[in-house]
Amino acid sequence: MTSIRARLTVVLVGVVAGVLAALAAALYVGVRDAAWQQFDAGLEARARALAAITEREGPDYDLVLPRLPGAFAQVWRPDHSVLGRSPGFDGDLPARLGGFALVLPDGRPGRALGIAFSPRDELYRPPTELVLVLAEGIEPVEAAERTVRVRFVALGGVALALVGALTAWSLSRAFRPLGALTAALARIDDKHLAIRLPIAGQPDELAAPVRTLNALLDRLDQAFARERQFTANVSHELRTPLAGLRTLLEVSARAPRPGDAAEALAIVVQLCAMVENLLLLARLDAGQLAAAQDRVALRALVEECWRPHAAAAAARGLCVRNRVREDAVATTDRDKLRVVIGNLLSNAVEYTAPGGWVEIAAGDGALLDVTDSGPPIPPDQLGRLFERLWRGDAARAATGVHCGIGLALARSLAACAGLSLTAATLDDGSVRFRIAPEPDAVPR
Amino acid sequence: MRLLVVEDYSPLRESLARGLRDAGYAVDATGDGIEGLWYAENHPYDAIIIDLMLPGIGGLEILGKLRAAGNPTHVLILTALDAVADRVAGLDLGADDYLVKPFAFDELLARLRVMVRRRYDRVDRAIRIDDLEIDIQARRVRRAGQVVALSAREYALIEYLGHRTGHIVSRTELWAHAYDELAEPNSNVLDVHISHLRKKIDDGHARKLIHTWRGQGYVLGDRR
Repeated sequence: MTSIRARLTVVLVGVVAGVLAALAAALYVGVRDAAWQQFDAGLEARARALAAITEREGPDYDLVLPRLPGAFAQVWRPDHSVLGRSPGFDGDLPARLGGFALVLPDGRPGRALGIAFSPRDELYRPPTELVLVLAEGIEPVEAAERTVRVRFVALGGVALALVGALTAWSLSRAFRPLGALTAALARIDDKHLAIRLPIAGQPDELAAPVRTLNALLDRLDQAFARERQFTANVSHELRTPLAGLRTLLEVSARAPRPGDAAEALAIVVQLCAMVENLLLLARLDAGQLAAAQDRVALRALVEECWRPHAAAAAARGLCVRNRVREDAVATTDRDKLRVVIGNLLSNAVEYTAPGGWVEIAAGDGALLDVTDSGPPIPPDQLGRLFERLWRGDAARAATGVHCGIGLALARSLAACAGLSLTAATLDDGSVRFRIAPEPDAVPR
Repeated sequence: MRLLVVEDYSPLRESLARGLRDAGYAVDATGDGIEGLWYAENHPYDAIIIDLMLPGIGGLEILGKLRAAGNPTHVLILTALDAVADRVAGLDLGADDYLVKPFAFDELLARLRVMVRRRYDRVDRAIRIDDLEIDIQARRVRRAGQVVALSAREYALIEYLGHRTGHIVSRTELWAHAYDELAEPNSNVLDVHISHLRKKIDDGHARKLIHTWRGQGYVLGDRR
């Protein structure tokens, strides 16, 4: 049984039935005992009355038993000979003292009581003991017993039905807020995440889960909003270069000019990089990439990563210093580290103010530090640097080359390789990106 | 016809400006929202093409400011956002049209033609004055059934004059609608283009259509 309501109802009805049955049984036994006692007492009183009319006269006894409808009496002399029987009765009753059950001579169930008594004697001779047994039908007691039983069963049944109905009704009332909650929850889907469940008016038992659900909805709402923003950003980042490419090609088709192909190619290259990065990020998210354990000579790797950016750096008048020692080595995923360093260098070359410097160093708790001369990044933007497709608004470059996915990708890749990637603005206004081993990280 | 293009992605902006100029429009282009707003507020554009996501100030904000200032210039929004909510927001703010990137350049041209036609309350795709016919869609001019070959600039001039048939169009107004910021503000250029137009359209026809109103400007057709 899976319904709490049904289960509670059954348990409650069962318990009440048990209690009622025990009570009824106790009452019934008491009532029956009392009835039998009363019956026996009546029997004895009538037997004594019969005994009282027996007299000793002369050598024998004078006994005229009255007609006893439905009852039988028999009296014995001290020598066990039968003194007399109630009129219309010519059988024998057991000559026993005390109360006992028997089948009456006419076949009905009955109860008998035997008493020993001394009849009155006008001559005051020493007393002699006669025995009188009186037997009567027990129908009245049995009928009373039956009535009590029937009433108990009927009353018990009604009581149980009432308990069951009341329990079911009050439980369904108690569960009504749950139904309302379910209905409210059912209205919530990815487009209606702003709905919150009402807390006011909830029973205490539901307030806590409702609060928890609301907190969950908050988190879901935020996650969906981030996802929507990300999707909007991705579509912007992909559609804008596509629009540029299409318009360029259409305009060029009408009136070609030299340089069109090169320009189109540049857009395609940039789109390819963008798509590659998105795919890589998606794979990282899905946990599809494993981390290798390579012995990496850091200085050589930095030099290798710097080469593609050298020309751009020179064009912006940037001075680069590779301060990583020749013998610096690390055990990590070489390919992922290469992409991370490449993205950091590319970021540094793009955002460092012209004429500044970029420095790469190792040690001091870090696997590698990439520091540039700034401009400094405001503290409130440091955390957002690693958000996907976020661009510092002020310094935002036109769509394209840097679409704001590089740093997010770098951080995900670093995490995959068991490394942390953080950014900090130092006191002198320079910006430091730090790749450090994560102490508890388990490389995937 | 003079257009403003506000789009921050330079390859798209440059291709758009080039394609639109090739199509005979005078085009000002900028990648910055604030500059775009300044352009829009200070020049009489026939239509504005604007991107939604712009550095500085967003496209919707520019649109809102223009409309708040009572500027009725037709605005076409160009954007990568295709959610219905975004479209509705743009149209609610008074945009006249909406194109989702990437788009077909021909479609952009067609929508621009519609917007320009609407600006001059024209339903017809051709302007007819006497036996002169200016086909706005085909960008072709005929006089007495004969096609008149015009340069892009000459066409721009005659189309604008055509839209304003019967009204005196001042030299400043002509300049503002047929030339962009890149053109040298040299009145000789306008004179030369007008005289070429005269030669091509009126020479050999008894009825002259292009009239000069000394000190005021030009009129195409009879002055109303």
